[in-house]
Amino acid sequence: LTEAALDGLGAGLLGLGLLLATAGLYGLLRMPDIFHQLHAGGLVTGPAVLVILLASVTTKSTGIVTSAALVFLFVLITAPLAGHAIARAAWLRPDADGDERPDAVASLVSLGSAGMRTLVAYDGSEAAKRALALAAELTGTSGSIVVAHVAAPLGEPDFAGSPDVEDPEQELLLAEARSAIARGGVHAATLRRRGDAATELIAAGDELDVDLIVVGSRGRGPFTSAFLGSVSASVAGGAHAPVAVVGPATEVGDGPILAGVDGSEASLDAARVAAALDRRLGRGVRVVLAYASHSAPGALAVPEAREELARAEEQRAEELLGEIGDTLGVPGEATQLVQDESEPGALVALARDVDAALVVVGSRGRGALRSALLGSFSTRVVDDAPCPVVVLPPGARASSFD
Amino acid sequence: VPDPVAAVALAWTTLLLLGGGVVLLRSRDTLHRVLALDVLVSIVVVLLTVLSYLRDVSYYVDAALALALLSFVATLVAVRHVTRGRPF
Repeated sequence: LTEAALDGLGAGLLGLGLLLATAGLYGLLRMPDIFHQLHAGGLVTGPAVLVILLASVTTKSTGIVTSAALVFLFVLITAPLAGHAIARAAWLRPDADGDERPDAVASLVSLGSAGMRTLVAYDGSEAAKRALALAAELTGTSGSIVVAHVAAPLGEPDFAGSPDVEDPEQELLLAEARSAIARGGVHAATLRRRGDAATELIAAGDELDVDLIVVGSRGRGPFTSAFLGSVSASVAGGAHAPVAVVGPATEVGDGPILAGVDGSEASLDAARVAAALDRRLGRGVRVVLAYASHSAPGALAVPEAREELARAEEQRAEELLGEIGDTLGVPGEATQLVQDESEPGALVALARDVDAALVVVGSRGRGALRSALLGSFSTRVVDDAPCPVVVLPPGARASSFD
Repeated sequence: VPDPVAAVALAWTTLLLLGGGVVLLRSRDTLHRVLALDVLVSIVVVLLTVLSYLRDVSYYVDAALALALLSFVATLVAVRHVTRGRPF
């Protein structure tokens, strides 16, 4: 009798599991979007598998039961986790299924086509207010500013909540920022987004085809940023326009704009951007070539040779700076050589000495973690400079200021 | 589990596998594909389990465990790639 009962139970469980799997697959084919499909798919990955594994208790093999118990536990834990990860990605993704996400409404008013377009990230913090002021100063009355606020996603997308509720706090912040800019006579528009701040800011910069992105930074060190995440660092690494990072303790100095170059093509873009920004600021540009004297093998034994080498290096640097000055129309006399010091330190010290208005540097676009471990020139300048730093991400268009 | 029942279940699961293939082919973007593959792996896990009932050996279930493990990690990494543009 028990034999027959066990057989019946096993057959029943198998049948139930397969029924669940079939229903789930049918739902997966019929449901309209990813969130509905996740519900149906969850039926297959969770209950269907579990019920069929449960049928193992009716086999008389201990081996099968133990193995099945292991899989049962594993699936019990991982199926919900995987489903949640997919749902979260779908929720955070900028363009879900190509159709507008209801809460990602861009309240974009007509942007003037002339002049410079600047995107400012604004969250009401002290650094954000500085970023706003800098953006207004750099953009001028001929251009337009888009003030963007990226709010956290609306928590978990619950079933009762309506997703298109407007966040009064977000509205208030943006209104405050817009009126602050408008008082200066600069045309301003606002942009509301939800999602991951850095991702949304980079996407907004691409969509609006902006010339400059200005973000505030909380000024955490490289390691804290790597582990807690730094929006400014992520934007500066991934955007397609120059990114001005305004730290909590930085001031636009009265001196010139410093452009850090190393002779590479990417660093020449830094000089170009500096020249373009200077058209609005009118402070003058100083192209800074940072180089260190290398000690050649055997040079220590012959002091004359060492001097010779140093002179040769200096001459090469002078030539390079001369070339840059000629091709870019940057005042040639305004150059500076830095020797025998670590490059970011030398540039930062110089910025302090001349009370620089801005520092412009290129970035290799390493992520926050790799920057912290490998060291990143631009990240160190951003962290230490006394003035706002304009970083050129590797993907930035060189033509963005023409 | 009676053998005829397990055999029928095996055939049915194979059909489900085909259905999962259809879902995968009809998926519109990366996330749909990730979900479809997740479901497809679950069906293969079911298939291996039923096979082990039918043949009365346990090692098919062990293979299913390895497959489920791989699928879980792959899902998480693929999903991170969708949101962040890079897996890590």
